[in-house]
Amino acid sequence: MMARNSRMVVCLSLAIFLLTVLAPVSLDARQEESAQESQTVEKKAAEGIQAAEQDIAEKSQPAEPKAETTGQSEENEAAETIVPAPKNQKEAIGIYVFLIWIWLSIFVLIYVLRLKVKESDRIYQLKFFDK
Amino acid sequence: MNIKDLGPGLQNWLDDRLGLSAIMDFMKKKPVPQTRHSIWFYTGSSILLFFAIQVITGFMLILYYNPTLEEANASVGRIMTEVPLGWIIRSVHSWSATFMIAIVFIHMISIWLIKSYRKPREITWLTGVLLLGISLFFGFTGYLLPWDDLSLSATKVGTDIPRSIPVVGAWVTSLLRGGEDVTGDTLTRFFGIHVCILPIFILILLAIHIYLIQKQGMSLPLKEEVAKKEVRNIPFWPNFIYREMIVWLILVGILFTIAIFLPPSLDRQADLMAAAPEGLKPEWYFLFLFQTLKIFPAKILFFHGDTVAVLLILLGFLYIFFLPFIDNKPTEFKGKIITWSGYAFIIYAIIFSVWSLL
Repeated sequence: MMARNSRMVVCLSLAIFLLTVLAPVSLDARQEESAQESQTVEKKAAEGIQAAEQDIAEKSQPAEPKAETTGQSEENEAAETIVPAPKNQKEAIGIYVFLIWIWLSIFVLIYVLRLKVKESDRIYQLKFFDK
Repeated sequence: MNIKDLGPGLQNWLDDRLGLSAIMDFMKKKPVPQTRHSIWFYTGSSILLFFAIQVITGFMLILYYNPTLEEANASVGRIMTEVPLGWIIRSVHSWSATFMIAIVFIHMISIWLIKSYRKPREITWLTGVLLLGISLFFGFTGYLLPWDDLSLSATKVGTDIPRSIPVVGAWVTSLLRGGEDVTGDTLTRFFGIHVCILPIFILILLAIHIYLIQKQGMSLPLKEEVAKKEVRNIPFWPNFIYREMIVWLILVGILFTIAIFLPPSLDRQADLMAAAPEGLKPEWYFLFLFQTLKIFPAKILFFHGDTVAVLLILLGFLYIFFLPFIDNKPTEFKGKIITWSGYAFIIYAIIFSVWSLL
């Protein structure tokens, strides 16, 4: 029993350690990426506005609308790939805590279920309910 | 009424109306053989687990998704950037689909190799192969829904494949696309198939499949059955269910971890007029078929290479579908050849998938 408990503690510590080390690195990297993405999008949007203002000044008549089947506007063309990431540090920490909680719950439940398996197997071997 | 009596009282009330105790008695008596192949029994319930996760996350996504040409991509973008934890829900949906299809393949191959499809389980196998087909079609239709460059091009290629089938090919392609080309109509059509038609089929087939498994019980491996060995059994409830729960917990943990650290990104909105992006690849579970189509030359004697390739693939599917009837003497030489064909299929699928990625 002691050996099993200590094994479990080691596993738990390892999982928490891995999550502690890996999660912030990965999340921070993605936040940086998304920040860069948003900066690029903002820059492009500003350029787009400038270009649109020039167009309006140059052309007296409005341009013909594009074919509906393309279903694209200039804004959409400017949009880049969206890399999913937590919106802010608070959300990142929330997700990180949630993940730790999930793994802790899983380890505890597996420990309980293993005991239940042993108990139910023992009862079955004893043919307890047959009697 | 005492509060303590509420539990048993409710249980009795439900039992009188639903006959739950009869079901529980059946599950307590249902034996689950414990052999070295028993590990494969856990794949069936794991598929159900991932299917349930997909249904739940699918319901959540459908609240925000808009299946129109103008809004599809933008609505997925909003799910990922504006909806609270939307990107995780989408990631869990996407990854659980991947996990489900992977386990469906493992489940099918394990049944093929231990020959669990033999009499009287032929119909269970047939429904299982149909469920595999539906799972793949789920993946194919779901891939288009973000409506980005990659999904559009992959759908164009995917829906063009049936065109090579003689006589009905062009009609099938047109039926899938809702016209000659992939357009907004295809998107709406795929959405309808993904959220309405396929779920109906999968639920009906699942009900038949599970009913047959409960009716016929878990199969013994061929060797044990032929040798009439005494095999240790455990009851389905609670002994086997507890073991299954351990597997489910581990899988859920892995799913959430991967979904959080490796969420799928979203490309810019698809341009119907744009050329296909370079290095176009379908989802991993179609890679071996994609590579098979690629290696065929344009002409083989008097026939188009594509037509020959598609017909060979269809022949392969028919072979798998009718396997229990082809393998009618599993203990003889023919049965061994069919088992080896299972190994050959695994090697072929792995080599061609890796080749496609290179």
